[in-house]
Amino acid sequence: MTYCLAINTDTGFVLCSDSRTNAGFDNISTYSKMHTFVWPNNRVFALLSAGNLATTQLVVKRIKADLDNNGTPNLLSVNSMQEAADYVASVSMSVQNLHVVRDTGNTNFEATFILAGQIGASAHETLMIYPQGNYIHESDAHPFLQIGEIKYGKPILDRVIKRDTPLNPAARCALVSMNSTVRSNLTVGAPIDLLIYEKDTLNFSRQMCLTEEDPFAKQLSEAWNKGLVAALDNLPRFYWESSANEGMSTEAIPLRK
Amino acid sequence: MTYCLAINTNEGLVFCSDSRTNAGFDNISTYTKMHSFVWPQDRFIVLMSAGNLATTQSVVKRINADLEKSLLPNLLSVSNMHEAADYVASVSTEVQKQQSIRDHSGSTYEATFILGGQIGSAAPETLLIYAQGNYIHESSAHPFLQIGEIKYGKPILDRVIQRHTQLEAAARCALVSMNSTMRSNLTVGPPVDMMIYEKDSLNGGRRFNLTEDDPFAKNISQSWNAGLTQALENLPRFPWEIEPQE
Repeated sequence: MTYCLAINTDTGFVLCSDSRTNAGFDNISTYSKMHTFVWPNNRVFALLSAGNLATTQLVVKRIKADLDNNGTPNLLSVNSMQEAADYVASVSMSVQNLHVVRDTGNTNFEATFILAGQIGASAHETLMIYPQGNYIHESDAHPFLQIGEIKYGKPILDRVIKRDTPLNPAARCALVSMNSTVRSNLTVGAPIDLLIYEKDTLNFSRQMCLTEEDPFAKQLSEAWNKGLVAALDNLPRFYWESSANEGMSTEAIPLRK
Repeated sequence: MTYCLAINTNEGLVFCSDSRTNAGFDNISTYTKMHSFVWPQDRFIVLMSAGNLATTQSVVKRINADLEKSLLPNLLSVSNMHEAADYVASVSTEVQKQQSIRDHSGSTYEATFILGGQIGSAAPETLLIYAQGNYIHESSAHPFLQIGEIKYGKPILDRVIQRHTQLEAAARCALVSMNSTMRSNLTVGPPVDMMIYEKDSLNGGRRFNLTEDDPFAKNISQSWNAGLTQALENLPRFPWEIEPQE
């Protein structure tokens, strides 16, 4: 599996993706699932992918080939993010159809994408493209999109992410959402790609790739662990505890390494 | 769907379950999924259920009927928790078979259970009974079991719960695991049933029921929100955020 997420705030967007792929439990590899397409001062796109690896790789290859061969439409010819999503969706559908036609079994070639970007002076957008080729934007109340193993990391996003969340805190929230997912599900794994885009800059200048040993990733994980333990420790006590333990300092929950 | 969890620590057992059931999106009801069977000074058994509601209700009814009619085996006749799990598993698979025989459209009648408790002086145990009738106990490294919508509430348990976690602290952790699941998934809903059993007490345990408006439940939820916000604020800053201060 995979976990990718996009947060779309008033000031820009944050993208985060893991790098684990597997064809069965005994065939695990590492591939980046974040692909960027940048024309400085003109337009920026990032594509996050989940699903069949052969499908997602071929989709990215075709997008690049269309640019190289000036086949239209392509990412440079589209006039809006909706057109860009339509284009990626049609590439995804044609790749899936090609694989299905060749297939003699009943294999699943589906892939899901998150497309984020900004074209010229229009607003920055994030869109989730389903395997069926239709697509949706994020909701105003919960301005984030997730694909892959979405459940483990959803509660913290549900609680925290709003339109007015500043970019850096939103990026930290994305990293802890990813961290929880990596800890709880073996099919999601490091390195973690993180991209922070400040709106109207029309360039991708803040990108990080965090390996398991990266000191910042480790610090973040330890600080989050400590913070959660402190939050648990500060929860109100049950009524029978408060009477018995009055005046006593309550024992902290030990930290799990 | 449903979310139930059990934590097995050195000090005792914690059980927590939601109460939402649904037959399609437009037919939502409230049923408790926690059933306790207590014979003070002798044995304490809790059963939590997820899956087809008709199946789980039938299973609980049969367990009660076997006790009333003194049919063997029953929860009072079994001599350890594994026998108890075997017995519940056989009731569950019988009920499922009966429903499948009547069915002609390939419906799923599956149900999953968590059975926990203590019989006499034996150690307290928790067991997860699969729909197929086989069962497992919790792992020593992560001494908890979950059924239903398990993913949303798993990260906090993975991080915190250990054998030596204090009983009430484990119960608070169970409540926030449940709280996160209810916020993120509409098919899991209040009231929340909680049972805290102190090892070797062989009494009824501490059971309580938290509705949405319960002041304690609200306190826990608000305090957890505040704590998470604080934890996020205390995270290390990105390199580009700290440069100007240098």
